[in-house]
Amino acid sequence: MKPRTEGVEGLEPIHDLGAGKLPEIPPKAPAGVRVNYRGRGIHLRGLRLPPKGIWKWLLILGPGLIATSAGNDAGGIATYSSAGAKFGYDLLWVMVVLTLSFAIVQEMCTRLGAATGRGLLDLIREQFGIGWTLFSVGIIIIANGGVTISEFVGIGAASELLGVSRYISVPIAAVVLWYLVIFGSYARVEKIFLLMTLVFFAYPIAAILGGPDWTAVAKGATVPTIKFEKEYIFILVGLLGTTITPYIQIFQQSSTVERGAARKHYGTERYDAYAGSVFSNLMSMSMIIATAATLYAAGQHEIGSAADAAKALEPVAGSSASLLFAVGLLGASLLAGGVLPLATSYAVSEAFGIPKGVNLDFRRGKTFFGLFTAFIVIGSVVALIPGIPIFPLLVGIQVLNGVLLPVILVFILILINREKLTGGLKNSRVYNLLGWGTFAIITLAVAIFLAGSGLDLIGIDIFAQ
Amino acid sequence: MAMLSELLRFEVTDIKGASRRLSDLGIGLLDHDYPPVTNLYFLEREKLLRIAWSQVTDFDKPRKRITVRSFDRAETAHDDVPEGEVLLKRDVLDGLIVDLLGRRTTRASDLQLVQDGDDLRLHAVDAGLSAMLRRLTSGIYRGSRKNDLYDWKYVEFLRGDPQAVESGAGYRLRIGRLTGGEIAQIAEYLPYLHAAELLTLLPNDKAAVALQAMSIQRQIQVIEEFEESEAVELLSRMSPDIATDLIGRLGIATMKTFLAAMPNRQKERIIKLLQYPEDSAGGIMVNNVVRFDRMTAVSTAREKLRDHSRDGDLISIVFVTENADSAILVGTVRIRDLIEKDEAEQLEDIMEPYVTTLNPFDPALDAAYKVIGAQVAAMPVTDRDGFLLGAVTIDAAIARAIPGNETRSLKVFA
Repeated sequence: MKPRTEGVEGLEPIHDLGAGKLPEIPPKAPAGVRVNYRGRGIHLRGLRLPPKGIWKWLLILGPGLIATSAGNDAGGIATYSSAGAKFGYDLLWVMVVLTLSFAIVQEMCTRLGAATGRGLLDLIREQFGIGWTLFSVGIIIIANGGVTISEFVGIGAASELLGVSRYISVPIAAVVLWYLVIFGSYARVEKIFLLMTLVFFAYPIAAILGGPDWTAVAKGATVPTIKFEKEYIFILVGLLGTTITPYIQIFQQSSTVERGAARKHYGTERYDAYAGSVFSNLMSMSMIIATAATLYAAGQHEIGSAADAAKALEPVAGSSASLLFAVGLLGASLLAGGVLPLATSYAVSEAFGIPKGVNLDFRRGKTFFGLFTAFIVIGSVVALIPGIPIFPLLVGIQVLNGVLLPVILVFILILINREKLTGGLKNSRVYNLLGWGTFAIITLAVAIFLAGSGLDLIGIDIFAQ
Repeated sequence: MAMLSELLRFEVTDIKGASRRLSDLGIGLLDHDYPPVTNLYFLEREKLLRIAWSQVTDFDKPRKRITVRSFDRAETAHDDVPEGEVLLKRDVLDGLIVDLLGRRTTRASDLQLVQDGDDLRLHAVDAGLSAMLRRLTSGIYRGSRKNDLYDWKYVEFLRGDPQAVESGAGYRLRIGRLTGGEIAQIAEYLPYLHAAELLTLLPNDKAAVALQAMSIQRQIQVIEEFEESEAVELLSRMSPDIATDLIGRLGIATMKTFLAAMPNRQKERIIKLLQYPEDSAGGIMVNNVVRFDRMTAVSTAREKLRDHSRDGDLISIVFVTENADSAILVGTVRIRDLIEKDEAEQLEDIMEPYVTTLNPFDPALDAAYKVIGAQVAAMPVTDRDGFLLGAVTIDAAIARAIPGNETRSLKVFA
C-alpha cells in the first residue's frame, strides 16, 4: 500500500479527514418542495417552481407591455396625433372598437405560434404553397418596407428637433443600426432604445394635464361619429393600419415561437396578448386626447412637422416638450428601425427556406443579409429625399398598412381554423365571430377608401366636403 | 429527368383515350436511395384515385403525357395511402427537409425525378429560387442551378407531426447517421413539432442523446409532445443530471407521473439529485459514478467497469470507497491506470488518496472553476461524513462556466 506520508504537507489523504468538517445544509439553501418518498420526507430543492404573486404577473404581462412601448413608433405617433388634431375626440370610438379587435387578432397570432411553433409566413408556405407565399411576402415587404421608411423619417425628424440635420443623423443611424444588428450587439443596445421610448408615458399625463373636456372625451369614445369625408376615412384607415399593423401580427407570432410557448401549456400567453393590446390602445388614446386637448382646442388642425406634434406634451414638459418628444421618437424609431428589417428578413428567409441568421458568413447568408441591407438602405434613402412631407408621409404609410391588413387577416383566420394544424387551439365560435367581424369592418373601411380614392382619380368625388 | 412541378401539369391517359390530370405521385420511401414512383394519383369527379406505376405503358415527356393500360384498374384513394408511401406534392413539396450533408434545414421548392429503365425515381430536392420561379411561371421559366439541388440520398424530410411515425407514415430514417449533438443542433433551428418528430425517427438511445444535447427550453417543448411512455423511456436513458434538470421543470404533477413510471435505478438517482438546488455543485453533479471498495482487485474492477459502461455514463475516473457497504470516499483511480496496472493489484495500491472534494451545496460556478482549475475529468462530491454523493464532471463544469450558457449541457470529455 502506498505510504500516506508522501503528500504535500498540510494535505491529508481523504479518508483521514475527520467527519463533520462540511456544513450539512446551508441556511440559505432554498426549502424546495417537501414530498414523501418511501415513507420519509425529503426536500426537492432542484425543482424550478413557477413564480408566484407579483412576479408571476410581471412575467405574464411583461413582454406584451414592452412590445407596446416599442409599438409606439414614428408612424403611430404621427397618425394618432393627426387624428386628435384634425378631429378632436371624434375618432376615440374607433380606438375603443379597435381595442377589442386588436386583442382578438393578437391573441390569435399568439395561439397560432404556440400551436404550431411556426411563424406566419412559414405556415402560409406550408399550407398554401408557393404562389400565395410569394403574394404574402410581397405584401409584407411593401408593408414593412413602408414602416421601415417611417422609422428613418422618425429618426430624421427627432434629430432635427434636437438641432442635428437629418442628412447627418439618418446615414449615421443607418450605418450604426446595420453594424449593431449584423455584428450581434443589437440585443444589448435595444434596451437603451426601449428605455428612451418610456418618455411616451408622458402622454397619459399630458392628456390629464391638458384639461380636456371629459364629457366630450366620453362621448367621443362611446358614441360613433361617422363622417363620410375623405380625410376622415383616410385617417380612419390609417388608425386601423397603425394599430393592427401587419408587422405586429408577424412579430407577435414569431416572438411567441421564440419564447418557446407550446400548445400543451398555452394559457398565460393569452393574457399577455390581451394586456398588451389594451395597454397599447390606452396609450394611443392618450395621444389622441393629449393632441385634441392642445392642438385641436387651439384651432391647429394640421400637423406638418414633429415640432407641431410635440406641442401635445407641453402640459407636462412646458418648453422642454420638444426635447422630450424628440428623445422618445428617436428611441422608438431606432428600436423599430433595427428590429423590423431583421424580423422581416427572418420571416421572408424562413418562408423560402433560405439560410438565415446574423451568425451566418456573408457567402452563405447573402440573400438574408441582402434583404436586411436593402431595407436599411431604402428606408434611409427615402427619408433623405429633400422636401419630403414628413407627417403626411408617415400617416400615408399607416394607411397603406391598413389597406394591406385584410390580406394578412384572412390568412390568420383560415390558418387558426385548420384543426389539423391547431388541434384543440382552433378558434371557438365567439372568436370566429369577432375575428371575421373585425375582418369585415376593416375590409369595408378599406373598400370605401379605395373606391373613393379611385373615383377621385377620374374626377368623381363621393365624399362630402 | 423531370421536375415534379412539370409532372403535375402532365395528363394521364389510358389506351382507350380517356384522360385525367395528374395530381400527385406516390413513392415508397424506404425502398431505395432513390425511391421509385409507386402510384399515380389523379382526380375523377372530385374523387382521388390512384393507379399503380406498373400500369404505365408510356412516359412521353415532350407531349406531357403518361399512358396507363386502363383506368378501370384505378382504385379510390380517399385520404389513405398504402403504408410507408409518401405523396410528393402533399407531403414533401414546400415541406421542411434536412440536408444531412450540410447539417441544415431548408424547404423543398421542387423535386427532381429521373427515369431509370421502366422506373421514375426521386433523385433530388430543388430548394432554390429558380424552382420557385419555375412553379410560378408554370414552366415558362425553365432554369435551375446545380448548387440548389440536394441529393435525395442525403435528405430527411419532416411533416411537423410527432405522431406521424406511430401512425405508419413513411420516412427516410437517415437522420440516425448523424451524431446526437448534430441532431440536437438541427432540432434547435426547427419548429418544436418538427424537432419532436425528428426524435421519433431515431432509435431510443440516440434520441435520448440528442434530447439531452438540446437546450433545456427545447427539451421541455419536445418531451411534452411525447406520450407518457415514450417520454419516460427517453428520460430513463438520459444522463441522470440532465434528466433531473428537465424533470425539475415539468411541474410537480408531471414529475410525479414520470418518476412513478421510471425504472427504480434512474428514479432513485433523479430523486437524489433533485434534492440539491439547481445552482449548486449537487445540482450539476452526476451520481451514476462507478465506485469500488479499496480491496477490489484491478481485474475485478475492469470487469465491473464493462458492465457499468452499458448502464450509462462512463467517466474516466472511478471512485474508491472504504468498503463495499460504506460509500466513504478514500481515493480515486484513473481508468487509464486501471488498464495499465497489474491485474492482481488492489485498488488501494494504485489509487490517488489526495483528492479535492466538493460540498453539494457549494455554488455551482465555484465548483465549476475548481474542476476546471484542477484539470481533472471529474471531482467527487461528498457529504459532511465523507460519503460519496456523485461527481462534477469537466463537461458540467465547462457548460456552467461558459457565460450565458445556462440552458445547455455538455457530454464530451469526462
